[in-house]
Amino acid sequence: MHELVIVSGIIEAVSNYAKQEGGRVVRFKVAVGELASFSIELIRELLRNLVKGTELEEAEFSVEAEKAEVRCLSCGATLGFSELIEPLPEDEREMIHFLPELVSSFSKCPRCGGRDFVIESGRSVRVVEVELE
Amino acid sequence: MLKLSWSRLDYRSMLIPKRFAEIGYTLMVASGKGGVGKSLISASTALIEASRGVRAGLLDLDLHGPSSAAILGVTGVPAEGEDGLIPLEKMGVKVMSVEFFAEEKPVPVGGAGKRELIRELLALTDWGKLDLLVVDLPPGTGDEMLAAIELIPERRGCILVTTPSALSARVAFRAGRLLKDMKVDVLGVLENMSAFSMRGEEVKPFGEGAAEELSRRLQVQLLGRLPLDPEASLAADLGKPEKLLQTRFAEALSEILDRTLSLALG
Repeated sequence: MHELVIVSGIIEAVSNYAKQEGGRVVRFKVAVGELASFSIELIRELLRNLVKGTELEEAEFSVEAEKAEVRCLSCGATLGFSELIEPLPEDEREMIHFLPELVSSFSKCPRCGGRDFVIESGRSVRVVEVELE
Repeated sequence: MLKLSWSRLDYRSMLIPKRFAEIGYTLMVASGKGGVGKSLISASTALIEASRGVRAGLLDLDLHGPSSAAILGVTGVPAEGEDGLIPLEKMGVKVMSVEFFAEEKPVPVGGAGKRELIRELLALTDWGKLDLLVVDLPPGTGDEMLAAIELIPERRGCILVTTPSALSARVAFRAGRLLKDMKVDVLGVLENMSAFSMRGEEVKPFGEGAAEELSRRLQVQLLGRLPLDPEASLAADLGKPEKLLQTRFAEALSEILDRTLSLALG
């Protein structure tokens, strides 16, 4: 359940950003990367509960999935969740859930067999938009 | 407070300073070349300090060749708690390593990916309160060292390990210079594999004098010399920390740590 600490960190980061910019958060958007296999519903629920009593309580927020895009530096292919994560057993997926960069430890490029990957998007949970007033 | 060059909206930029606010002192163990015994020194330092009642942690940032957890015989997968990932524990030492997640698989992560991985480990590991966190760095001046310098903000220092070989000391100079340039407190040079006893005589297989020269060039202390001790090597190979603590190597390191860390650990 390390999602709890991640969501707490997100709330703090957004609040801190607003403080530094001297504004109030009207809405913010969170993207949940496919690679780490977080439950979007869980992240949404945690946000809903943890914003209570914070500066973000009145702010609107949305939580959306972000497609995983991983580039294989050996052959140039762009790979996604279905090629890299879906074929893995649950215990290996869990390791990538904690540390998404370990996708190169557990998965190979289905085209060339390479493991020299760069994660271009959909890594983990991140704040993609903040609107202040 | 830590100044971060990466996104202000990144949850890790909030979590990492909080983790380190709970840690009294962070000791990085660095070297120029590999194979100088850095992981053995890192693991033994955490072990010796824990045996004295210090709340000690050991973080292995040698992402491509993690071994300090194996030296302590620690295996398993960290559990998830409400405050993050709970380090594994052995003889009072809390241990975190990428090895727990990747097991025996390779970790072919480069450049920016390494920084991401280190940020994640630092942000998610719930050390709780520690007096001392020992960070085992890989050899050289790559991303791991740069990330550690960037992310570990205050109350930090470094020990530079070399063998008596002139080549090892020459390469260690570069690492020492970087650390000093980046305002890391280099506590001194530690010479490992100095000598061993054979038929009552002291043998110095790698020569002598290079560590003195290195410390002179860096204008830091020569902290001491550690013996080439087959018993310590065997204890590390077997992952037997209780045996490691009883070796001549551990005894010599313990004396050096008494002098070196007493100020940092209060």
